[in-house]
Amino acid sequence: MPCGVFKTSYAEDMAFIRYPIHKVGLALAIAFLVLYPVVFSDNPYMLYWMNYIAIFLIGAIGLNLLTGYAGQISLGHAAFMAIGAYVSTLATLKFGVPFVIAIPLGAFASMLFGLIFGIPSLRLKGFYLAIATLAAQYIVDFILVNPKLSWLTGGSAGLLVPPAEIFGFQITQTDNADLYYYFIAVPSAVLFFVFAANLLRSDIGRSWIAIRDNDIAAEIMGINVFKYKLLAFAISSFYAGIAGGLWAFYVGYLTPEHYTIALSIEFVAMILIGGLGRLWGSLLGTVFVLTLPEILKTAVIPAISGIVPVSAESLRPIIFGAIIIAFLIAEPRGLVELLRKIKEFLRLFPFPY
Amino acid sequence: MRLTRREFLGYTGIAVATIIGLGCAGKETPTGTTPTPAETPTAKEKITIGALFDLTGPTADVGKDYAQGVRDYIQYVNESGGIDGITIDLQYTDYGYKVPEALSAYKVFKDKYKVPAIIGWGTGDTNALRSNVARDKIVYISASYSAKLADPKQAPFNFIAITDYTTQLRAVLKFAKDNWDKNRPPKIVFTYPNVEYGTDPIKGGKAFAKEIGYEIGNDEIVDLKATSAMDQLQRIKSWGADFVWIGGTISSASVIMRNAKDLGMDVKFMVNCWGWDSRIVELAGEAAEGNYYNWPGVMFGDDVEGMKPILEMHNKYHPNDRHTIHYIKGWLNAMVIVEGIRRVVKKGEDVTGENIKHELETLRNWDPQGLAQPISYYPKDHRPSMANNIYTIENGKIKKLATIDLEKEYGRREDWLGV
Repeated sequence: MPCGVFKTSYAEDMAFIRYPIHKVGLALAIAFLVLYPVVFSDNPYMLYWMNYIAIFLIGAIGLNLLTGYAGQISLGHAAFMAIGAYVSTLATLKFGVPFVIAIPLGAFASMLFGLIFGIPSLRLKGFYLAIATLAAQYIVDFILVNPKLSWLTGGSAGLLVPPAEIFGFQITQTDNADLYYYFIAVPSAVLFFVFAANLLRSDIGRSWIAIRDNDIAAEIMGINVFKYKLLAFAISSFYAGIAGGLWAFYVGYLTPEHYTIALSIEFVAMILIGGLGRLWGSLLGTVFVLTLPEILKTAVIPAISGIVPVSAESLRPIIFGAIIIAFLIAEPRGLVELLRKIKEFLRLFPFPY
Repeated sequence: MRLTRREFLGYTGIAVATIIGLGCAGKETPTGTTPTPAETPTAKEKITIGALFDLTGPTADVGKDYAQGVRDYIQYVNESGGIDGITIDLQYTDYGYKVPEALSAYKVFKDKYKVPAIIGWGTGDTNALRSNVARDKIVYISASYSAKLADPKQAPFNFIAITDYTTQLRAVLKFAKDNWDKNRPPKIVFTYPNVEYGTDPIKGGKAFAKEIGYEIGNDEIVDLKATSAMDQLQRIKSWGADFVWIGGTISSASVIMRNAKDLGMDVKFMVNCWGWDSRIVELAGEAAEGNYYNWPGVMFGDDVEGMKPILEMHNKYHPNDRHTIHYIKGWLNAMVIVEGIRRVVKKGEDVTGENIKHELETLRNWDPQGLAQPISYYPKDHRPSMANNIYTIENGKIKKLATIDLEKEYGRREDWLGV
């Protein structure tokens, strides 16, 4: 019996799923995702959480591609998400474009927008680029609440999103909306996750990593730096646009108040906590950032509310912040690195190395 | 890559704790509970209703007082025997003024507690949940007094306990016009933040201002977090306004008033019901004097019947807290919901959202113990009343000027419904 994984061909070595543990993991993940809606079919709250995480995961993957892999810091991710949300909603609202077309339409609009704001990346790096993308955030905010455009965007009052329909079957704003939407949001998230994973194995992903690590070296090696930077912006904002469209239809109500700088920062927090430049980090970070406040609210706050003299609710943001700081000090490379350390330890157990 | 045993144990500890935490989260009550008094275990039944509060978010400065009002009223009802022995269990969530959190809380209210009614808070959550509550048939009463919520065609299950923003604005316009003594049309400028709360009453208010003969200047946007409104006020000053509407919240309202005093402007401000409370005297000082303040209810501590239970709860549980009109807003919203439930219970029907809505729609001039204007809801018109109180400040004291009831002169105008 071989004590390891042997590969006998190049095809095997390049395979997407290489190790037995990956196969087991994949089987378990698929089983989990298939069984989840069955188990929680009458619990919209749990379904809602899964959809929420799935939709924001798409956005977080987008940002991780741009910031984690291509090394371009963006503080305008919420703006790209807003473009996707508004364009797909307006396409349905004003032109009756069906839901399945409206979502990619919004994503393409967001992609164009991302391309425009990717242009400064030719000259700007690091913090300066971050400020340039921050401009995207403010410009979009300005457009969305501008009273002169309120005939289109609804202004500060926002828009009511029409129900999503696929071939005449209504999937949102009905009784089982959470269950139906699970079959939209979760497969989309899986699809975009796999797409990103494969993209990163390709020349594009490798070029991004080369640019991130050292753009001059990358250029000398013959990589068209500007092209790949723009591509990173385009794909990243495409992901954000998909997330925005899916979220708008799911919530059924669009308000500019949601797509502010706070949401952009939240996206950055997701990929930082999860693990910058690690695809799984996007997943772990999204789950962590979206679930922690809820756990604090449901389990921790009621538990300590009798002990502390002040209103326990006011401690919630403090605890949230403290946990994030503690995590970043303990493991600056994110949750993914933490998991890797545990895995490594178990692999070598009981020997130290 | 090295990892000592100690580190490994530490990480495992964290992981186990997280998993246990997650496990507990599933079982424990996902929301806070009002402390129920000791007598209640003898009660036959309980009815659970939901509430969304902002205790930590951007509107927490007024949201906390509102939440206290809601909780106190429910506790007061329970302590005084409930509704025919049925206690009310208030499940509330602090949603931090975030729409996604409001949605997740709504799912818990709907599926776990099967609530017939929800006491909501701001514009964002109310609008995001408007179509949901209509579909799920859950009565929703909010502290966003938008006129749209009083139109059953747009929001069949939404209720508001006091006169809507636009009608409040119309009332103060009418009052100012009636007390106008110069021989020319009064000039007015609308200032508001460019958020839905600010823009909501502007359209309807302007139409009415035009109708009764105001001259209207260009709108000025003053942000909710503004620390200066000098340039906006300079423009207003050079145009020569007599009246300025302030559609923001208390901090921006006090900034505008103080700046206007610094500029030596001779204008009267009209302030929306979230743009002031008793703290305005301290925040704006002399600049607050003589302006018109909207609020269809009474001030905290006024001598009306409904203030007795409020003061009783106040002295019993939090005698050192300072309360404002926002506390009364919370108390009133809880009162209306409980009145609806009481009427359903009295008829011996099931306490469902549909029945509560139906019973609320039979209210005719129902007096909330003098705390606000008498309430009437109709199946096709959820405007609680068309009346508003105008307050002013004289020598640092809040004084009521008048009660303007537009219903007497204009009736329940159809074209005002929802605008």
